[in-house]
Amino acid sequence: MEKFVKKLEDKFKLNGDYIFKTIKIGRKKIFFVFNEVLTSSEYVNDFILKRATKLKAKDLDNLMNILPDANMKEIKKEEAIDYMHKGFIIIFTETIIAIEAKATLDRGVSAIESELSIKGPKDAFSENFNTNLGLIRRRIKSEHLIAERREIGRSSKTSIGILYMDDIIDHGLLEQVKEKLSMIDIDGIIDATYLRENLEAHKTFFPTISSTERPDKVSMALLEGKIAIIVDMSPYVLIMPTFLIDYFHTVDDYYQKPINISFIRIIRLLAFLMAIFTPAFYLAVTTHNFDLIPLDLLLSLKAQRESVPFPALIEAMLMSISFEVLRESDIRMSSTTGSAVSILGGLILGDAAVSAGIISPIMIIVIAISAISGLVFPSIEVVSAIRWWRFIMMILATMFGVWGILLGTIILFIRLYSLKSLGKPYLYPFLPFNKEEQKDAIIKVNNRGMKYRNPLLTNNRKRGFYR
Amino acid sequence: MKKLLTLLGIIFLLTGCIKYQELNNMAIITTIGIDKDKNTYHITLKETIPKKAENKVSSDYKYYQGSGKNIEEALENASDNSSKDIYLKQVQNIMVTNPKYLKHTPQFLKNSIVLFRVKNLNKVLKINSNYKYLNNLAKDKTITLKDLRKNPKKKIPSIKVYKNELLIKD
Repeated sequence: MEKFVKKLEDKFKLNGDYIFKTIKIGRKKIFFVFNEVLTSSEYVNDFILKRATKLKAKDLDNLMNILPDANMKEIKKEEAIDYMHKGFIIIFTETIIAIEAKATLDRGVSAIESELSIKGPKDAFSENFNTNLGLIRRRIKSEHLIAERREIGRSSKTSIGILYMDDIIDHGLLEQVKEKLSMIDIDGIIDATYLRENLEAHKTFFPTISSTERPDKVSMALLEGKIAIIVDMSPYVLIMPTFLIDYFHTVDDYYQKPINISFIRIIRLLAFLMAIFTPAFYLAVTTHNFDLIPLDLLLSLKAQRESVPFPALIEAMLMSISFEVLRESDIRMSSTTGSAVSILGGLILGDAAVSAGIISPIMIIVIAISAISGLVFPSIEVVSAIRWWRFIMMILATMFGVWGILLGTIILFIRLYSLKSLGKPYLYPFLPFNKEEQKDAIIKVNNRGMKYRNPLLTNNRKRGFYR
Repeated sequence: MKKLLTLLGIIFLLTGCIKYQELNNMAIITTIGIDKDKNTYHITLKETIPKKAENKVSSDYKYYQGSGKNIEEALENASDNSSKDIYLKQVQNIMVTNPKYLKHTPQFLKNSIVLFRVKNLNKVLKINSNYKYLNNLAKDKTITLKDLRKNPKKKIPSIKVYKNELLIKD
């Protein structure tokens, strides 16, 4: 065993964080090998090394009982490095024992940052796999909640968990996900988004797999018959399959009165349309279809554009790109300097650009309406998809006017219609139409009225009833 | 999908759907004056040029004249006198020296255009008055192109210039 430990020491001699410690007990030696970064030094010193110094020669054959730990196992030589990297301390005697002594490297359960809600829980996922699983298990205390663990990534050996309710899930769907996961063979999974790229079937702007930092959202999805994937070291959990309508819903929708939520969902739908079509419509009426707007408005638009030296499309593109630059710098900056960027970019530069005659005031209004409408959606993927389609519509509107917008709408519709998330139609429950599912599409009925689960996701459709 | 997009693209490109015009390069005509001298029609186009002034939009006016054997030809010649593209789809008023000439107005002129009869076309047109003022001038006596197309015998209100202002003749 000493030779093997020596070999390990040689292998890791360039790394300062691998600790090799030898304790002599009588004539025998015990070797302790661990990584000081990945293990808790308090735990290693107080519970293992302190006890180890008090051991007697006869105890060495009975170490498993003398050093009790919840996660302690006898392992083979070739498993030693893997376990060490998982935060275990490896004890070499006649046998090899691995004792879990993981250091707490996560930030604990923190408050939600990106998917804010007015009501409902505020806890968010963190980078710790067990914490994330725990947050879901605390919400669904059922033996039917299965969390299958796997390791993906040749070098990263990242733990992932496939979560589902085995009494609700469509097992065909589950097999599909498992098969796709088994086909992934890359060196590292650093974040959940790495998996998403491999699981999504289409090259599209719109996301067909959603990610969330909200445990309540994942719990709701699991109870609907969806599959969730937890990835170690990622604060986001993947949910699949996902339909377009899911992005118009927030968890808040289930914590407030249905009548208010129905109104908000209509607003979100309008925001989606405004985000894509407002600049395109403006370009269409100012470059092709002048007769679509009243003469007063046409003259007002002309007065505003009289000093602008650029064609309308260039002006719109300049404005859109400036907004994207502003948004990007606002995200990357800390909150203190971020507000300065907003003031400088939004107010001072905007006003100066209008005064200098580079941009017309109406263009600022049009792009601002469009950009703000796009930000209604908490998913960055949807915001990006909207941005791409906004640009496509703008170019088509400049080339063909309202006919271009119509052409773009047809292409967008065909694209969305052809999209599938794990083989399920993306535009469900509108195409194919399902009357029952309309109760929670745009208009939301009371939770009492939603008695059945989505038939595309499960055969176990009864949710249960309020008495 | 690719075939469909190619087909749609070809349809759009070959059917002349690209009619790009910059708003700044357009002369928005709000009033047309029609006169006839022997066998020649004389057309005057009044362009409204909006000007941004603090919190309101004021207007300047520019005139383009052209003559021809018929109204279309006269319109074409008047359009040629402008460096900008002439935009006639939002014309609000037509002033004519004799209602008979209106029989030959082109079909693209909107039905809601308000008609006036004038004696001295050039003098009336040059008065600084916007289309809203002109539209309100005749009030309940207002006749539109649609009314005239329905009933060619309808009486068109006459306007005259009095002390540099436009008035309806009784």
